[in-house]
Amino acid sequence: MLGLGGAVLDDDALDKLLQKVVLLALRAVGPADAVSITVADNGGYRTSNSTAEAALAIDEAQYEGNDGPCLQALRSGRQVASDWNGNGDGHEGRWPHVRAKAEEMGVSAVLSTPLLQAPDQAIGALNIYSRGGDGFGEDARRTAELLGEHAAIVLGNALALIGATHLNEQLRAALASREIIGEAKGIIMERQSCTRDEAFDILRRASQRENRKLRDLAEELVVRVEARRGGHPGP
Amino acid sequence: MSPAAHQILESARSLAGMTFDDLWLAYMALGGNCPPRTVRAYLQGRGADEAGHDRADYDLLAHAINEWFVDQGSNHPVPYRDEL
Repeated sequence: MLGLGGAVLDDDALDKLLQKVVLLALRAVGPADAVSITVADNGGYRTSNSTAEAALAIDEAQYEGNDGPCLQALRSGRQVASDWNGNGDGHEGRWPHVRAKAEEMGVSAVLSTPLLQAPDQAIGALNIYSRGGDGFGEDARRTAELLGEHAAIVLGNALALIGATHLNEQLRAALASREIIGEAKGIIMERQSCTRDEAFDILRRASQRENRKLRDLAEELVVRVEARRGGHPGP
Repeated sequence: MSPAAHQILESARSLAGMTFDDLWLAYMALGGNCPPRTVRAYLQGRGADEAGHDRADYDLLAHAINEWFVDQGSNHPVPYRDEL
């Protein structure tokens, strides 16, 4: 999977869409007091959006400890609820480092919903924190699931766009390389009266001998010839 | 019996940690003309009469993998046709 590089998270449009999701969750999920979104980012995790400092702080305690309800939801692809007190999905007490931070922030329960791109592929998690003592009921869970589905679509589309942009850049670079190598082969064919394949062999051997990129040698040759002819390299 | 040329390329690609897409892109950037599916078929030992049957295509693929290795600090470990 392509990571969410800085470019994505700096993207205003994506940021605004995800911010709407966290604000909506804050309003729509009854016991919610703070909401955040965790995104899987190049093998690590980060919080892309949050409605309160408490959510960010508890998220970060989980990233530092590499465990916690949000990461559990992300890794298992299942919703995880916990009130740190023995009620929830059986995870209580497993995250003392998270519990300590949650208590410090006055947060008594969490509901983390995975953002699924495919049934077995979570790309993030929607984390809802509550200060009330009653935890999250069935309605809250269902609402969080619906919001999670929405957020997953937003995030998934953004990832697809990044993938396409990245590929576009790679193709552009490959075509530029191909063109300069083609020009260099033309120069060699003319000078040595050889075939196209022989011209490539000459460049390839030089690349091997000098342990340098064939493309760079080709470019040097083209620039040198252009300079000698008094022209300017490239359009 | 020494391995077939396409097997040498396929093991090298795998060792280099290149995907088929990586390899095809690098091959195309060096001037290769075969489409991705043809390159993939050749590496997998199918359709050897297309890409790679041709000496130039073998060397283009070998060089594409070698440049990947050069980025990782190795010096052209994949043999070219005239070294096979």
